[in-house]
Amino acid sequence: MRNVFPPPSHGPLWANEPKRLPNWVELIRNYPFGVVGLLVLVIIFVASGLAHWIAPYDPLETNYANTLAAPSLQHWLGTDTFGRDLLSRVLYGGRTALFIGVSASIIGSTIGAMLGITSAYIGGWFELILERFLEVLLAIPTMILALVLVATMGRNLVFGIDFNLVLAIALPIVPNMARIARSQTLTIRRQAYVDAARTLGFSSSRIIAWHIAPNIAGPYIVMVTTFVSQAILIEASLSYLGLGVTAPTASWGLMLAGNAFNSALTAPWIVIFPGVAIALVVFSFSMLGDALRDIFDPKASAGR
Amino acid sequence: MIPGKTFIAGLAAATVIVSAAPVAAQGEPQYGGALRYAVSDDPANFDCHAANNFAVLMRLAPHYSTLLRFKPGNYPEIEGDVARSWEADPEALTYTFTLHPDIQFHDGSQLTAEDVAATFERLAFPPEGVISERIETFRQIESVEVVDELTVRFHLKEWDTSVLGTFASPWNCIYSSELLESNPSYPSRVVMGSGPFVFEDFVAGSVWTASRFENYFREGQPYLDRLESYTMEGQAVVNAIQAGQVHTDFRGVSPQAAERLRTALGDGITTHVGPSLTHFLVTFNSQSAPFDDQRVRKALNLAIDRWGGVAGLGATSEMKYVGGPLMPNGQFSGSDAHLESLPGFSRNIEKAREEARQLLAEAGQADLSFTLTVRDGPPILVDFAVFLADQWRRVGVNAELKIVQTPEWASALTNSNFVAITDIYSALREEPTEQLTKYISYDLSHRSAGRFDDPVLDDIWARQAVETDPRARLDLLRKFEERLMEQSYSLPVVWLERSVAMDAKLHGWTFSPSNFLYLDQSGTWLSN
Amino acid sequence: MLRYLLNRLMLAIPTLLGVATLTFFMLALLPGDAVETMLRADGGNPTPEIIAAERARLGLDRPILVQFGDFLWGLFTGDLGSSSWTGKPVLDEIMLRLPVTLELAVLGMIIAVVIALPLGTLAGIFHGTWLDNLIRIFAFGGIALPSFWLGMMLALAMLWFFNWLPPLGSNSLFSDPIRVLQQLTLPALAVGYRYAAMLVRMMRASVIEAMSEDYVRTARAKGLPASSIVRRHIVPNSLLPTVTIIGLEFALMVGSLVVIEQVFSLNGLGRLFVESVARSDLIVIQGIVVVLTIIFIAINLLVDLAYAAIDPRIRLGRG
Repeated sequence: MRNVFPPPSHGPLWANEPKRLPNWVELIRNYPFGVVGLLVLVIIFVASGLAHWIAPYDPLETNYANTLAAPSLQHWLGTDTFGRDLLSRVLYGGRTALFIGVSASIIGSTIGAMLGITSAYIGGWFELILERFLEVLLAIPTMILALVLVATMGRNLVFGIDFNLVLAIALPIVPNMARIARSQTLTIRRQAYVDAARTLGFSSSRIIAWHIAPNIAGPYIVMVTTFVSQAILIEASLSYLGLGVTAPTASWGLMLAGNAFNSALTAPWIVIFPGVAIALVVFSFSMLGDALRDIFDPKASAGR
Repeated sequence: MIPGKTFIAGLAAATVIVSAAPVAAQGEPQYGGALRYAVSDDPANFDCHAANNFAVLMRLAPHYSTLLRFKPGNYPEIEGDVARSWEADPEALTYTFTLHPDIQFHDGSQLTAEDVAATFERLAFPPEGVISERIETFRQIESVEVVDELTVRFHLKEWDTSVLGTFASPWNCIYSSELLESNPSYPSRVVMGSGPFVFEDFVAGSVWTASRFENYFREGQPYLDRLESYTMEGQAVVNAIQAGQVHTDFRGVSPQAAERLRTALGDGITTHVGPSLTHFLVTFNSQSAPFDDQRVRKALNLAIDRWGGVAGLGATSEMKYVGGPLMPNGQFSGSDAHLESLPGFSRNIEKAREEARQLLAEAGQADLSFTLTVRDGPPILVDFAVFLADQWRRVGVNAELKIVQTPEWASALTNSNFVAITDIYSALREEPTEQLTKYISYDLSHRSAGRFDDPVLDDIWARQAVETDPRARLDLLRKFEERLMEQSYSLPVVWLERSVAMDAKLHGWTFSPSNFLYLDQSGTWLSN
Repeated sequence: MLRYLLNRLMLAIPTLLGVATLTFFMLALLPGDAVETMLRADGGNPTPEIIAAERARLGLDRPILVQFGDFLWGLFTGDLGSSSWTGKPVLDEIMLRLPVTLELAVLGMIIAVVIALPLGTLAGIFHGTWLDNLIRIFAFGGIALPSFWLGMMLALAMLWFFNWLPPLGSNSLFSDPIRVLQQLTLPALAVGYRYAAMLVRMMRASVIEAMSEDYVRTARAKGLPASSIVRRHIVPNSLLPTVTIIGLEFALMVGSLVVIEQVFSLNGLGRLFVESVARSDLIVIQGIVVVLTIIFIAINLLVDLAYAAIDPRIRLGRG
């Protein structure tokens, strides 16, 4: 997932190239994929957010008389080995995936952005040490880093959500975001208006807050969107390996784990739907992310 | 009537061989072929005496002989393996074994009484640095005496009901005394025994290969040319059998998976189904609140709908039978009526749950919430915990699952660092004295997960161990169950079914309730 | 060039040391105890004395800094310690599995490249058309489908239609290449699709960029046929950035095979990693992280060098 965002040195920033905000018709025409992605995401967010009200069953409610039932009118997506309603579990699983994905991505990106901006701004030893540290983190493959973290930190349940899991997924995002934020900041720092602000005697924190942060906002939003996909995939993989979300919480990765593979030939629905759900969400986030990139940084992603 | 007989009959009835394979093919063993089977894990080292995982035994058993063995085709009857015959004195305090005269180790040396003695001395009195995993089973052995080259005599301290089982245990592989002398821990690195197959190669994480031992002492055996056992994840096993990657997994598959294989392969698959000596249990930490209160423990016991659970879970998983601490419908279990009279085994679950709620309210724990520590191993262990949590949810108790890797689970168990913890117990054979060590005070048995101290329970256990009248012993066992379930320190919940699905070409293997037996493959053969 | 190489190598060493340090101390916090697990794998009950003796034998009872010093020295001398599970050298355990992982990664990459280059070029040339959109959707799919799920589906399909699954066991590429191919094709397809998707996007963007370059316009003005413009100018120029990405992706891929190896019971590094986590075999875990990092750094280095060889400006600009 690295190098998704090209370095800004290719040309001027989006902010320097004023562009009339497109109205919705133009949006659809220019970014059909992005709009579709956004729509699907809105539907998924609403559906899983309201899972408590719209899910036909409690996702934990077992029914031993009706295990592995095929999709039917009572159970649109069928039931699993505990007789739990699959549709309800997919909806609640969406809540888990989105919550972990979005929060890990925001936490990782925010910490990364802050580190990146600070190091670029302060420079010196701080920058050097931080750079080395980030390089170390970048050198460990993402999945392996997340796995080592999950294994070492154990579980830490806060309101039923494993906070350590969120952190383990967020940490690999930090160095990626920090790099981008740093190079953006370096570019902006050289701009005349920042110099002007400095000559005017504004404090560093004020310059960062008023001049640098807003300029990072665009790339930040694009990266958060991109990292959500990565985070959701990692969550699914970790849960599949039994190191992520804890049973009986509904999670897409967990629904594919255990004996699902063995049961899949007789009850294919138990593996198809969770997989499709993951794919759909990640698909939508990628399309949205691409469109956002085009909107915020049209030059760097020429023609995408 | 002898209880053992009923058991065998029951077992025979339960062992359904679902196959249309021609019966005639069962008759005459054919030679040749390579048996491929799945094993769930790699051995850490190769020492049978130190190992405790049956995955290790699946690899090692074909390479070794034992003193006695469980008779193929006739579980739980015991016959001689390297011993041709044996006799005990009337008090059953000395056992004298006469060995087969022409037994060779794979290195060509002769197996003699010296080797048997050295092996059992290593087991009963392990030298520094040697681990004897089941050392408590040798507690009654006083000394081992080599009478002559082919005769070995064991002197016992006290009469021991389980001693023949110990002599027949597949864990007690006979090692070469000559090699042991130079290095007492040679077996952890070298596989050299007198079993039907010679070790060839082991690729960690992948495959263990063995070839036929031409000088195996049983005339005409073994039939197979080669053994290849593959290390593979449980999730992949059923698919592997269906695709013909392996012939079988001797541990068994879920009933649902077996059904699927039958549908897919029809005549191509044979299934052996029967009860297993493995059961799942849950233990409460009765040293601290809230489980130091017997009412709370009993309430949680009452809330579990065991009959409903096995009816549902049994359809898709191995969790198939309701039973107490001893195997249901076995040699030592009580009647169904007695079972149903025990707390937690009532058929009337609504009434039991009502009582549970009442007990919880009395104890001031109406909305109890606690953490259940669960080992992350085979998926079925997690399924079991999900089942428990769901049962308790129905009486308003919230059990949060804490699923941890085996090391953390093991350390929680040893250090009593849990509120409630699930556990699995597999026995080699039906032997109450041994099996009930899981359920007595920790002071008496470190195998017990509960840290309680219950002299009444311990006393019943100690009395049944030396009770010579079978009927009186059964009565004591019933008393044990009553006390255990009333106190609810540790709860036996479900007993598993073992269903071994195998390629119909595979014959001559004996099914038994234990995962640990009949793994030496001496009589196994493949038809063309 | 040699100086540039040395320079890059020197920079890689602190990173590697950093990774080693970080991993070592993170793992020192791991709950549970490998020794205990090993001793009580399936219901065994070792006494505390046995556990203590075993810990002492493995040197796990020494102060943490001493162990760390030992680890660093071992790293320096190419000794990654011994597995606390099997007692065998970690390097042996890793080397046994590394070929499978590398073969899978290479095959996955080949599949990715074979799919991606033509599709990316087509999408770039016809960008904005339905063909482009179709290829983009295909690419989005590759990024969105979890590769372990795709692998599962491929395996189930094979089982459903042919009652067939890849053969098991460890096979050497040299003694039995056909069997290795049978074994690795499905998982390689599953991961290859994902990386193909990334490459398609890269290739497409490069082609679009190349098409707007002056030389293409000139060539078109000269009236060269479209196919030869594509062949002679656009593709070669777009390949350069794509090749760089291939290298980086390969490095990423090696680290991401953990899950797919699990699905197909492949005896690779990823599966060893997951097993070692389950056994709390810290020494193997840290060995794997170190080895994967070395591979990662080495590939990045190679990519840099390749790039530098192609584009001499870089030697001055960076490093």
